[in-house]
Amino acid sequence: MLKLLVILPAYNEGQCIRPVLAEIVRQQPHADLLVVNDGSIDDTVTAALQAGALVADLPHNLGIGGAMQTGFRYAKAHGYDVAVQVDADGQHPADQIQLLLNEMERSGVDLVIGSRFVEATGYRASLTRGVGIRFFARLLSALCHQRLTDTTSGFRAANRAAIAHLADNYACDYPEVESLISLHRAGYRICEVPVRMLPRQAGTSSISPLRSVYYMMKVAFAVLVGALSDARPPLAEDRPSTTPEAEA
Amino acid sequence: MNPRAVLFIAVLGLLFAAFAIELVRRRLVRPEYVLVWGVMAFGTGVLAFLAGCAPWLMTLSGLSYQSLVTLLGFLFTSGMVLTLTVIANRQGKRVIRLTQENALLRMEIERLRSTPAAQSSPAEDKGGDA
Repeated sequence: MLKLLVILPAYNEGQCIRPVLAEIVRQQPHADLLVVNDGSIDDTVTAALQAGALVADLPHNLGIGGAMQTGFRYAKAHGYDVAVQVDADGQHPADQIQLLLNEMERSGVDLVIGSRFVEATGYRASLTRGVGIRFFARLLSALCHQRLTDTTSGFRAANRAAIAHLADNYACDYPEVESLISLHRAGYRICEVPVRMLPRQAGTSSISPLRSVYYMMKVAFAVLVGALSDARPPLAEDRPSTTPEAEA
Repeated sequence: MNPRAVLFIAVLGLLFAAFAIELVRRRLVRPEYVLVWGVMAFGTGVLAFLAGCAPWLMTLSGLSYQSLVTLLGFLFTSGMVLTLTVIANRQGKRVIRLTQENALLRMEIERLRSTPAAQSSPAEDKGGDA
């Protein structure tokens, strides 16, 4: 059986993390759940522990990238076959996780992105966010020579090889786009699968319009520099055992 | 250059070097971080005491003396800021790594504590070891 870890980076998600975890347990009963508490000041840790999840409690806020990398480090250290990233705010329905796993098994790629835009799902982004999503989708599609529609999606599944890469190479803030160019440059295979996403169940997004501008500038610069960087090929010892076919 | 100006620059350079050495002596700054200040003090000394150095640089660059000094000061400051940026970045990465390891190790400790074997009394553990 596939050794599966679901990683949920969480910052002040005490209000909604309990039902999110409960639903994941219902949909993926064999998965281990790891909540990476990114310096929350509410009861996120208590709620996650009560829901039966493992909790890595970061002593201060590192940002989504630092939190996710903690999860990938844990996954790498404990030999997980697949790590799925899920938002703790309920935007990523637990019943969609299986779609990522099925696509990974079918195509044998290293990273599957849950995309809101492969098919019309009715998702509506704000103006600034929508501009950013389209901009990075086109930029990454050009740099990776494949069509990518939702490069900012944080709903993803990584296999063992991608976990090993991401555990050592992950940007601290706004890491989703940068991680794709990093994986592509290192020779990992990426694909998208259409998924449905929901509005967040509670709280507000940390990305304000002003931050969106910073986000676009910072990430675009990092992506372009990343595209010029030396590629680091996948670790040879990881590659053979990484694909679900090999597992089967 | 005017002997008084040479003396002024030399005294200023020496004071700066003494201050930097004192910072290292008090362990407020690690020696490797003061090296760049030492380079600056040395450069100042060269400009002050080697009479031909400044005119040669002026001819080479086409700048007046004031502009040359301003440019050298700007270059040094930029170099220093860049050095500090690299150091801050390196330290930031280390802090992130340590924070992550700290969280993961604390989680492992809590997990081990909650296992039945770990909940046996310390006296039993000592007896078992003996």
